[in-house]
Amino acid sequence: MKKRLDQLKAWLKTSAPIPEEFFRKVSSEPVPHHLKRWWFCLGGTAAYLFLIQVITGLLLTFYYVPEPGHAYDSVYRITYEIPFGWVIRSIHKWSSHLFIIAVILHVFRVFFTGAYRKPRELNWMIGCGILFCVLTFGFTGYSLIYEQLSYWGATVAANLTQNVPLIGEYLARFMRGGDTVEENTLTRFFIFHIALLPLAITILLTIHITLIRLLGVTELRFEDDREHSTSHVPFFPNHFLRETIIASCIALVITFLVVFFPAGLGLPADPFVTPAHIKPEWYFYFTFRWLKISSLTVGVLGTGAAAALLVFWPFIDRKIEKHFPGKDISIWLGIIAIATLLVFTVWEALV
Amino acid sequence: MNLPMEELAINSRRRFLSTCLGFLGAFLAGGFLYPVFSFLQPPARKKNGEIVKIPKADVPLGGMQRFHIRGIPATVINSQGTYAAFSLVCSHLGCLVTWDGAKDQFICPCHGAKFASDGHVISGPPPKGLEQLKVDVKEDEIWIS
Amino acid sequence: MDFVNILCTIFVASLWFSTPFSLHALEPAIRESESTCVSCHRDLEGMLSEPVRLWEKSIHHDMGNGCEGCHGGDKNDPAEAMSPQKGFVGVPSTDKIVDFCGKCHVGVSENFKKSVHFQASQTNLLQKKNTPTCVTCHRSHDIHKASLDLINESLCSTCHSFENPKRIKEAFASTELSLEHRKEDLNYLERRGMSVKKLKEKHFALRNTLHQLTHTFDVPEIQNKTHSVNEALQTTGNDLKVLHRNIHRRWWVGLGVACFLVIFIVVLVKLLKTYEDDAS
Repeated sequence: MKKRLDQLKAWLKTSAPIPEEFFRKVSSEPVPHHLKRWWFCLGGTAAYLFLIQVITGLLLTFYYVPEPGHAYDSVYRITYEIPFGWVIRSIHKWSSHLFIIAVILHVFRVFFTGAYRKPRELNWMIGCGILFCVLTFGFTGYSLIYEQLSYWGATVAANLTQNVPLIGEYLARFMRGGDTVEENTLTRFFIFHIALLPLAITILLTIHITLIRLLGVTELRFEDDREHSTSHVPFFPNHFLRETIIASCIALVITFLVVFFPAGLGLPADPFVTPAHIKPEWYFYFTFRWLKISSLTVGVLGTGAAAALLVFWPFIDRKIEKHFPGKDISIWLGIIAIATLLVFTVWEALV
Repeated sequence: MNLPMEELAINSRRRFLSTCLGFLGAFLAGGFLYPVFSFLQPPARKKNGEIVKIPKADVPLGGMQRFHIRGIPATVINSQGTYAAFSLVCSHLGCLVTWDGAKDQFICPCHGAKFASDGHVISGPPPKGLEQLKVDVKEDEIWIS
Repeated sequence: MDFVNILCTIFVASLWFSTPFSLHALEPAIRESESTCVSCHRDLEGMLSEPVRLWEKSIHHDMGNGCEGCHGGDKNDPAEAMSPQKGFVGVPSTDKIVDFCGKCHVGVSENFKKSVHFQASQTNLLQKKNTPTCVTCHRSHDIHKASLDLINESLCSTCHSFENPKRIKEAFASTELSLEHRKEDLNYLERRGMSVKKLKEKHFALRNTLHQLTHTFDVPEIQNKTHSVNEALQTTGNDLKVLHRNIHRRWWVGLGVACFLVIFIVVLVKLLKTYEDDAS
């Protein structure tokens, strides 16, 4: 048995001559000790949830039909007729929510530990790209169900895009593939959701992780870390095991959510009846509320400005630091931004 | 800085835990793969008890009429005054056979198989005859189920 | 530097400009749908504004039925709003009321016309003025969701004894209650991921047969039909039991998976600890 295994190893070595050194180096990269705290593992958690999304999403495409006449029925079939269809769909639904939570918390963590500062500005911007991808994922995915709320959500979003200055008209038509939400729209959303966005996010993630590896993670030292003699632990097995523990805990949460709150299905989309209460998913509450209290153009521009502010924050932060050194203004601005975010979200949730 | 004995204890403990983890992981993977495999096996769409009604006038002597039953293309033929209905799916590799009224036989375009008017294989590679459907002749209609 | 300044300016400017627009954008959907009838009558004096106030609290308002739904006319054009050519009827005469409401409540008005209440007016048993119509019990503008509370002694005994109404109410009460419970049960099953589309359709049909029955005011007929509805409820109850069992089975399997995961996590933690002990 052992001999056979050795033979196989030797064969692999000759057919795929990658130096063993490489694997050892990649897997045993030293990781700072402070990473044992779970909130420093949020990036890894998000990556794990992304993996779940890829697997369950792939399975769902086996039955989903991206055509207005059949989309809703195919989702209905997945939910109620295909064996374990409800499990796959509910996992996909719930891990999408957890995915977005993990990404947002990851952004917060990076922000408040100042991990976006030189030389990591580019990686912060790539991270922002991933965040936008994730939000678009959520939006397009929800629209695919083709129930009343998803249909009208798509309509509202497309009409909003129309108000982007200069290119709005073009953008909205590009998004819908026509003047109203129709079969072209569904096909587009489908292609975005299962092909273009996965491609984009995979590329961005690869660069994101490569840059982390090249630059190393930010070194932090906490009060209670001092007593440890070693400041670093190997990625494998220490950090890998920790990530697996977190992943298993998430799996536990998902199991609970799937069993007790399985994904349901509203009324099928009806282009002639707008339902009384249209609300987007919770992660758009902030924008939705902002759009409600401002005029359309201002609302769209403001959202764009906020996004730009987020992307270019490392540079803005540097200017602030230069003018007011050592006053932690960035931290306070961050707290204000998060407070606004929370207030708007809760406000929208309560109304 | 561990003592040799301690190191030994840690090593055996580690090996034990890793083995446990391996077994549990295998079970978990199985627990996930089972739903995935059943997910990929959709339940059959039940269409039993479907009855197709065809007017006698549509099937003249030596003629045929095509129709679909339970999602399968089928035909009813009038061979010397008696009606018989068959699935058109060739029992060899699933091509659709055609009815040759003049020769009173079915011919498969794929591999040249020939079937008699009662569905039996005359020549060619098919392992068995065409699937026969139940025919009920009413006053001026043929009921096929 | 310039570029950062521009970004900040845009952001602050957008905040600043948004304030004057905020109020008018708040409730666009609701404001747009307000008809000329409502916006005009709301500000009229006394009796003429009363219908608006009453209607705003009614079920018709909640279900999206405005003035024009019953009174006709053109809700978008103030000049033509009350034009008889556009089908406007202000106050229908007593003998037209049943058809007035029957435009939408078809089944109910059919049953009502067969009933003793309506027949009384046809055979002149009662003076026209005192004939019971829809509005006698349901009122005209403050119409609320119909319930069994409408059959009460003070209302019925204005015309006759409460003896028959009481029997009708009793026949309905228990069935209505089981129908309500069944509805809640179905909603619960749906939330827990069961397919209840067909069952809900069945339930809705059952509920309709019962509700149309109310306006026949025919005691033996009502006692008969409520009985059959009760029986139908019992037979579909078995389907629901199967669904409940399905949910419980899911819970048990879920619990099993959870336990397994917990053990998995415990082993992982112990294993990690052996490596951490090593490091320190």
